[in-house]
Amino acid sequence: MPSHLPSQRDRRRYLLCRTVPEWAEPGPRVVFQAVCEAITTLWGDTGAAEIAPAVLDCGRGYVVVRCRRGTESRMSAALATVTRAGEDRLALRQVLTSGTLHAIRRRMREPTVAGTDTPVLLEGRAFLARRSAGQKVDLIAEEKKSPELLFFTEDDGVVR
Amino acid sequence: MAVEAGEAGLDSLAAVGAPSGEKGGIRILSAAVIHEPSVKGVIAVLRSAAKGSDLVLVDAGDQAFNRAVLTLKGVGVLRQVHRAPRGAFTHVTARLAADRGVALEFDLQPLVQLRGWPRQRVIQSHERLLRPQRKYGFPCTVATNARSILDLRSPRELAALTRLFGMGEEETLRALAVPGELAGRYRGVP
Repeated sequence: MPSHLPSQRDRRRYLLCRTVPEWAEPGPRVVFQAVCEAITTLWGDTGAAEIAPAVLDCGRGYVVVRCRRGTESRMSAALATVTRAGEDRLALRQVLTSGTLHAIRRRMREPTVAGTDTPVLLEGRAFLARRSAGQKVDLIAEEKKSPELLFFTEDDGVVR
Repeated sequence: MAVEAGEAGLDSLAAVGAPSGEKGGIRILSAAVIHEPSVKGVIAVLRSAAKGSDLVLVDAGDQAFNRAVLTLKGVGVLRQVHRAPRGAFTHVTARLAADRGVALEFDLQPLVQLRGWPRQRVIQSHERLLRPQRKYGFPCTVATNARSILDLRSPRELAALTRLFGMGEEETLRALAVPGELAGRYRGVP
């Protein structure tokens, strides 16, 4: 029977990642599968077992993942190779590594107020302009077969 | 892209075909990539399209091609060496690169995008290239070859990826500064 004394529990590290694009809201199960796939392909099954990954929180533009202490560099490399979650493209931008969830939560920014989607016509094609943090404006092509994401800023003079 | 690069912690980026300048506090270097298979073709592009660029990058080929390209004025970075035939980058080319101050690019995109043995081969190739880099001391750069913000990686992530083939964090940060140092070193038409 394993001991439940705090001093004998596994030491854990928590990684805070920002999701890119910011408005992507992947489910925790899909993110966990993406993270596990990245870890297993990079470090193998024994490496994944050592790292013991877990997705603790997912939403509001952030993902919190957990690993064993001492494996965070391997976890960090694997997270950098995540390119999609389920069907959607996704990148996890690492923000902070900490030993406590308290520090992770303190670092989370308040989610930016999502603006309304504005229809935009650009070079004869219809787009939805979705404003996010700072100057960023994402243009989402409204086509049936090949959805395409274009990233513009207000400085580009395209979206006003 | 510049806004996202700034948020990721980068201070400059090299963009192919973009005019040099500054956007959102990020220095943008105008880069030109030459994909020509012959030295003659590289010289022709260097004379025309690549003339106004801050940074000229040339795709590597076989050993003879690489040796010729390294002697050309205006070439800043030799890229895609991991895709060149084995033996394309020897101690002779390494010494030449060190003498001419031409950087070698470590492409991290295959480490992110590929899985299985193709990625293993790229890691092996990068490991092999890192040995002469340390011995002869020619400059090197790390690149994500990002086409959108989804492909961009922060310096912390780049350091984690370069650790896969044995590059230290200090070396990675030094490599990230190299394009800025090479920018504007265009030395005229060969």
